[in-house]
Amino acid sequence: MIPSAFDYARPSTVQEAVRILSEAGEDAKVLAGGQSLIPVLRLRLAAPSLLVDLGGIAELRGVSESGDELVIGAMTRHADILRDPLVARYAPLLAQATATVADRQVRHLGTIGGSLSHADPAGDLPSVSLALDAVMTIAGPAGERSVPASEFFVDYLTTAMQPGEVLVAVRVPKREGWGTHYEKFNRVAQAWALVGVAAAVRRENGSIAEARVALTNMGTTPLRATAVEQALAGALASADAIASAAASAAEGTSPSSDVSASAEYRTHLAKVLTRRAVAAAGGIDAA
Amino acid sequence: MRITVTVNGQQRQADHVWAGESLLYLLRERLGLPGAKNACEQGECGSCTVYLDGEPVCACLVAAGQVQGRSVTTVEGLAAQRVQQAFLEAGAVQCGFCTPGLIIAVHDLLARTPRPGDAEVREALAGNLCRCTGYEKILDAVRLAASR
Amino acid sequence: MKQLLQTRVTGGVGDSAARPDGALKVRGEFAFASDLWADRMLWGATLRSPHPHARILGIDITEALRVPGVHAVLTHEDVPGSKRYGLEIADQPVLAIDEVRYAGEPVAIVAADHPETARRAAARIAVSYQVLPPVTEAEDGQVLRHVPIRRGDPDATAELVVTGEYEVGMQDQAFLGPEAGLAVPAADGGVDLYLATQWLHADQRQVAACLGLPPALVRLTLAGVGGAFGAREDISMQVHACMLALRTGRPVKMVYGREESFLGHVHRHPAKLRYEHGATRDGRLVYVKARIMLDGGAYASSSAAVVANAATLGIGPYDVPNVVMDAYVAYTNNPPCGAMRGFGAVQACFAYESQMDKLAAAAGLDPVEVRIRNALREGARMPTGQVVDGPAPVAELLRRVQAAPPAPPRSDDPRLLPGGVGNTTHGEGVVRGVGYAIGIKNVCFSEGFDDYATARVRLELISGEPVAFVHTAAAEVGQGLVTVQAQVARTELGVERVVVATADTSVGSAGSSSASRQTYMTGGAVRAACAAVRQRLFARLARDPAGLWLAGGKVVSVDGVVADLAEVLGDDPIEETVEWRHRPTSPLDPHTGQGDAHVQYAFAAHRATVDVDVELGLVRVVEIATAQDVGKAVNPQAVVGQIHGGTAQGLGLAVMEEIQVVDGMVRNPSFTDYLIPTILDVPPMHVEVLELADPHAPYGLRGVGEPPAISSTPAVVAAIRAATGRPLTRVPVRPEHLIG
Repeated sequence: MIPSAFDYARPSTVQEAVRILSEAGEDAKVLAGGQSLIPVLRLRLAAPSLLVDLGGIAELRGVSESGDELVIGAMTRHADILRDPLVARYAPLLAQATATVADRQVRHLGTIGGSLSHADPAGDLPSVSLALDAVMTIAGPAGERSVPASEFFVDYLTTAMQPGEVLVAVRVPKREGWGTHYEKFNRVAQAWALVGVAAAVRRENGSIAEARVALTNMGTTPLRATAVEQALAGALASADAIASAAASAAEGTSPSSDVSASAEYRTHLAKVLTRRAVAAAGGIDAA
Repeated sequence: MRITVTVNGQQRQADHVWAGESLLYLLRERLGLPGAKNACEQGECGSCTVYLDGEPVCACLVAAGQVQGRSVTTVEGLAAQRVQQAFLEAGAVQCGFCTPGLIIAVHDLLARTPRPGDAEVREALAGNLCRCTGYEKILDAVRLAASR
Repeated sequence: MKQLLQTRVTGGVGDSAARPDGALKVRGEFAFASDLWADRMLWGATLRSPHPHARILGIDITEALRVPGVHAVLTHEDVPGSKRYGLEIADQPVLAIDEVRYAGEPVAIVAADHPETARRAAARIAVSYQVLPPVTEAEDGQVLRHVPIRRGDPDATAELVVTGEYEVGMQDQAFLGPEAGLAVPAADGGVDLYLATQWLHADQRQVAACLGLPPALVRLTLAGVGGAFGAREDISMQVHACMLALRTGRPVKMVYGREESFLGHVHRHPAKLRYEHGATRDGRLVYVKARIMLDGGAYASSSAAVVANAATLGIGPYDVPNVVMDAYVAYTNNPPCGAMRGFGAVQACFAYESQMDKLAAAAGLDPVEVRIRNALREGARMPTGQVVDGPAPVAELLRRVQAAPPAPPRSDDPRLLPGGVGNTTHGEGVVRGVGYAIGIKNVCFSEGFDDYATARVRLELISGEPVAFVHTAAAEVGQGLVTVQAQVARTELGVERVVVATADTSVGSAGSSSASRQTYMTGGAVRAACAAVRQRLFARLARDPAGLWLAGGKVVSVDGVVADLAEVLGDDPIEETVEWRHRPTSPLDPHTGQGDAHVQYAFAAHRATVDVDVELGLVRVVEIATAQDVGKAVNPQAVVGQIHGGTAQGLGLAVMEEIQVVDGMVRNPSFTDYLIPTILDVPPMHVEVLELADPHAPYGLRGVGEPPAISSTPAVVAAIRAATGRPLTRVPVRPEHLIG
């Protein structure tokens, strides 16, 4: 009902947040929208001594353009992403996946930065950030640093961020001329994904020039389906070529067996969903 | 800590609040407003849905500190009764535990989309579990409210 | 004069009268048990066993008592009276004594000034366990009850034989309002308990025994109940809250969280069922042989009655001359199982309806046709030898769902395809299937149980207007019983204004809000109490009461108004309390299972239509049609609401709902992992209500609540089988059962 006791701080600038976090050390937790963290605290899976609420830092909210990138503030809420014109134009994959996150109530509080920092492999946005080659801007005691999504997710619920660091923004390359699609399989609407697949495809003439494919919940972190990407690069934009490439979607993955699904079934889903996601992203009739 | 929050149009204050308490606990146990319900307290069921600054949220997933200086509207504070009346007439209320959360969610839906189609209604209410009705009469209630 | 002769009153029996508690519920002002509050109130918390089976070597509460804000820490040593309780067998300890028999069993309780303080203190109680191996399979457990049924020739043979083994997972009632109550110590040494329950007097009896108090000092009042479905028939926090209140001298509130709720109430029995059906070549049943094994879990709860239902209803609503049935329930170290909507009939229905589809295939018949050929009819005998002496429209219900408008063709809207907003299906690999099922359920308590309900009705002038006051101990759990009580009083007393008092133990027992019995029983009791009031009222008139009735606030006869009710009542209200019983039933013969064990049978049929993405194993139920005979729809809107809700719970069992127990541990005690249908998972439902009066029941009514929860499960599974061609012998069907 009520998590274990902790102190609560609500800084108004990133610098202040970093200072508070640095002083508190490993016992501090960052509170973004709280939609993942508060359940964790309530189940006593974490017992921080200090919660640092980023909700008072105005600079962390909003989407802007910077050259050929979108810069999305870490505290931008899912609901804001869904109605943002820049996201709709340059990163529709993000909007599509965000629309499948939990339910409307949760999307009104949950933030993109919170989802990524929580690093739940069953979350939808970590794999999307991989597929989009997003780069995380992280603030810490020594200033800001950039970490690509491919290096950001380290392990189950673990990122490359150190104690004292805060995710400030997600930088997403503008992907004009790419087709994208997110496939999410869950047994009940609004539940976590058993498996999800984020795909981005750039076509040239009758071929697939490049593809990015990332998997939700096929291991302890979101994973790039690199074998699929390699097989697709330069392949014909045909249903057969996609099916053949998708057959290797589960290569290098280590899905879990749990109350929701077996590892074998997740492997099966990854292949089917990859085929469907790539076909949809590439505008190719998969039937 | 002390929390000051506007609830149903009135400024309210609560002292000695534990930082770990949720908005739901604050409302139910400290401010005497039990309308938002405590069915799962994990953000899965929607029975604690309230407006926070005009948007529906799960009160169980909001830390008390996060509402400092903000505005909350609970089912007790909804002025218009159109949705409530439609729930009564359509038979959408059985045990009623999910009802307050659904009233807020439907109120919000109709404010955004005055004449929603069934698919829109289902999508908008997917975060609100009901164990008694099978949802059919809840859909009837939304259609009825939208028609008025 | 004509209008005065009307016998109907607005809001009477047969009307969709409005719920008296509805306005409070939609405004958020209805007080559920977890909403209660009292001055100087403390919060209770429960320490539970982490082991499914262990010996308790010691309990040290010292550290817990040191936590500031803690007012009491109690163990089994502090239980003042009987150390054990139970609905049928008092085998469940109030607090574990020297052994824990399931994971989640209460071991100690704490009262503190904040719920978090209470919980932290509970965590500091040191319990020393010696872990023992758990019994996790019913087949390995001690048998709690075996119900054999023998009818006809046990060695009968047949031209067509179909066999099957089936399995039903552990379903949870998953009501939304958690277990909750507020215990207030009283000056007379007793205690007042405000709580959510299904049966106030069963709780009172058990709580008083455990507290070592006379029942008169343990007063229970029903607080708002957030759904029940069977899970509130057993004791949960009742004794604990009272013990803490009596020890501390302060009000104590206990509210379970969701995880604790999953551990704190009984579940639907998981079942393994083996069936053999023999039939003629044209699909007429010659015999059924069946063996049913239910996992009762650690304590008896209502297992003995559940297994009797599974046995006596175990071949379904079919006329079968030869039956060999053996149904067992056994103790294990799994979570205790007991009442859940359908109560033993659900598990059997999944198996026998799966068998009927197999038989249809073997005989080359349509699944509806094979059922109609074997359908039970009025006058036929059940396997127990009991004659079905009321309408049994089994064939008619099947024809109704078969003739219902077909489900709409597959949608192009991806939100309406399997996968919904996740967009996983764009129409590829989607196959449609249709399936049928029908079920049978007993109504009221069976096997000779002294089943009664009590009602007190007072007719009184208030500001010159006659008002009926109805007082029972019957639990309104969401089903609309408060509405029904008012409707009965309006019809019987011809008054508009009825006040239904809060249910409590200051009036006699109403029995449980379970077994689909409460409209029948408490409705019948209110009707009888009204008749008693009417009789006394008519006795005040200086004339023969024959041919008189009450309507529109008048005493009337065929000749017109006889007297004004207000004048007859005057300043002298009339109050009557009546204990009302249904016709008696008999025990089952322990060797042959013969006996007129049941009061009434109820039937519902379903047709389910599903779209299955056979590549992913993803199911979307696109439509369900239901037909049910309710005898008399006392409140048509509420009847349809029950049918919708029950159907949805059966859908849940078909495709998603299961408490997963591994080595005695519940793996998914949350709404994150225990899935119940959302509004996106329940399809539009077509409902047909038949009203074939049962001559033995009040108004001819038939219990409504459970039948719709029984056959929707096999109907959905039959539809998935039709779409996929897979055998699907276990529910819930998981996606991985549908691929590979």
